[in-house]
Amino acid sequence: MPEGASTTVRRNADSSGDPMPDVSPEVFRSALTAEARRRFGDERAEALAPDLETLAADLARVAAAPLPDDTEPGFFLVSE
Amino acid sequence: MSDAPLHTLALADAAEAIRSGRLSSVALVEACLRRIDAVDRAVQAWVTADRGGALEAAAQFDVEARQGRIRGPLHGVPVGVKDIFHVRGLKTMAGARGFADSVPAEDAASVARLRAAGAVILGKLHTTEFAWADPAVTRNPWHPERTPGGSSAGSAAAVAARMVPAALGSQTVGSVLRPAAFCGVVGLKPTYGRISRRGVLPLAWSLDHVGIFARSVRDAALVLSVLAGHDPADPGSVAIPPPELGSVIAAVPVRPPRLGLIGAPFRERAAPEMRAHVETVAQTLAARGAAVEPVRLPALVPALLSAVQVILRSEAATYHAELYRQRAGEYRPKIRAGIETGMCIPAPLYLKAQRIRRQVRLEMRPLLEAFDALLMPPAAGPAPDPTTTGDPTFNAPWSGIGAPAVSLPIGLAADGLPLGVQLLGAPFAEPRLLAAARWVEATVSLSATPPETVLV
Repeated sequence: MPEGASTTVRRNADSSGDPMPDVSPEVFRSALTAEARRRFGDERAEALAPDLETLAADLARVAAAPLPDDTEPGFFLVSE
Repeated sequence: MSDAPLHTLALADAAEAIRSGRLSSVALVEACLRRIDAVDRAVQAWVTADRGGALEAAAQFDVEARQGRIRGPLHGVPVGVKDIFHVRGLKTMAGARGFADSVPAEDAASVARLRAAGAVILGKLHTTEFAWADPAVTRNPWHPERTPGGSSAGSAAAVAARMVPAALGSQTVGSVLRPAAFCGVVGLKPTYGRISRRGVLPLAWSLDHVGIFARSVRDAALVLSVLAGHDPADPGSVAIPPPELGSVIAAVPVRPPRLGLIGAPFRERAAPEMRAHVETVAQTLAARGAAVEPVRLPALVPALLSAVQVILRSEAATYHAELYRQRAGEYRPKIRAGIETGMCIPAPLYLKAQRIRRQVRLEMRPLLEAFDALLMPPAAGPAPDPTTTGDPTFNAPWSGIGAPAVSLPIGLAADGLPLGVQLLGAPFAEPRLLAAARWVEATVSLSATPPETVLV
């Protein structure tokens, strides 16, 4: 099937196979902060808090975005 | 040739004057160097002005021109290069003086193409650190307390301040179109894959584009005609014929373009002055014969804005992982935070972000192909204060889908700073986009230049 020709966009994120479809920004922020603490320590994680909050909101929007099942990653956007 | 000072000559006019023997490359390069001496203390656009190398090359090009040997369309004309591009014999510092100080033995592919076309490489221009968002030292030539934008700060400012007629920059999110708008010059970000990235330090591989700064659409098109072409050594380079730009370079199109006017989600993000500016421009263009219609973007575009940020942080964190492990404390604050937060992103969400950009590209294609160009603001408003490089939101989606876009200076804000518009086109349709841009430029372009009182 040609790319984008006859796909059906899933509106029910729970069934789309998307990673963490219903996760809120708050849950992402908590998970990101825990990962930052593990990698960089408490002090650095605290300094990163504004960036982690922005990133959490971005991750929540990405997770919730409805996509056709057969959309593959873009990577190098060659001749499409 | 006009009586205008040589440093103010347009790229195409200077090239024609050199070809026809009315101007020497040495005289033009000397004029640009004198201009740098006069104004760069205030603007701080240049990392290195390669006086010796540029004058030596110019002298050689003059000899060749007198013998009737013209290397290409840029024969004898100086061009500046953002300091993340390798230029043989000149340090690549990437705005990170403590990190990156290698002297490359080879030119970046784009620099090599410039030289092959006869360009004189005048030197290296300031960038934000590793092309991220910590502001560069460069000042906006229109106002010393406003940002020139970034990351291609020096490239935009040098062209605006008439120190060089054109410059190379790069755009990962908004680093060509936004500084062009803030500095009142033309910025061109071609389609992803159109210009080789080989020899340019990466920020985020799948988003990085080479871009062009010039003072007219004609000049930007001329530089693109030299730079475009497949490079098998760049995995993002596309093996299609270079764009046919001869008619765009030769003349302003007679036919008014068909333009789509983008509203949400960008109209409400723009400052009231910018909203009114774009609407006035659209009305003026329609009155002069353009067909202007409102268009609705795909519903996924807001998610694309987030996807671009996720991809940017993930890929930058990956590229910088080893250097960060050794020297984390030496990075400037914003890029360090970007790398560290990028390291925390789960792989499935990076891949979801890549799927979003591909889906938006597929959904945007019919819309882009239905118009000669889509019209929208290039930034939220005029250049903000220099603690920031400005908001790249207005440029991010078009980096995300790899579509070509142009920023045109059209008018001044109430505070005297440039305002512009952004035009975008279908992937690999640069001739159509630039033809529309040239018509718009001829109809409503900005003729003002930065005040000399700011520059000295």
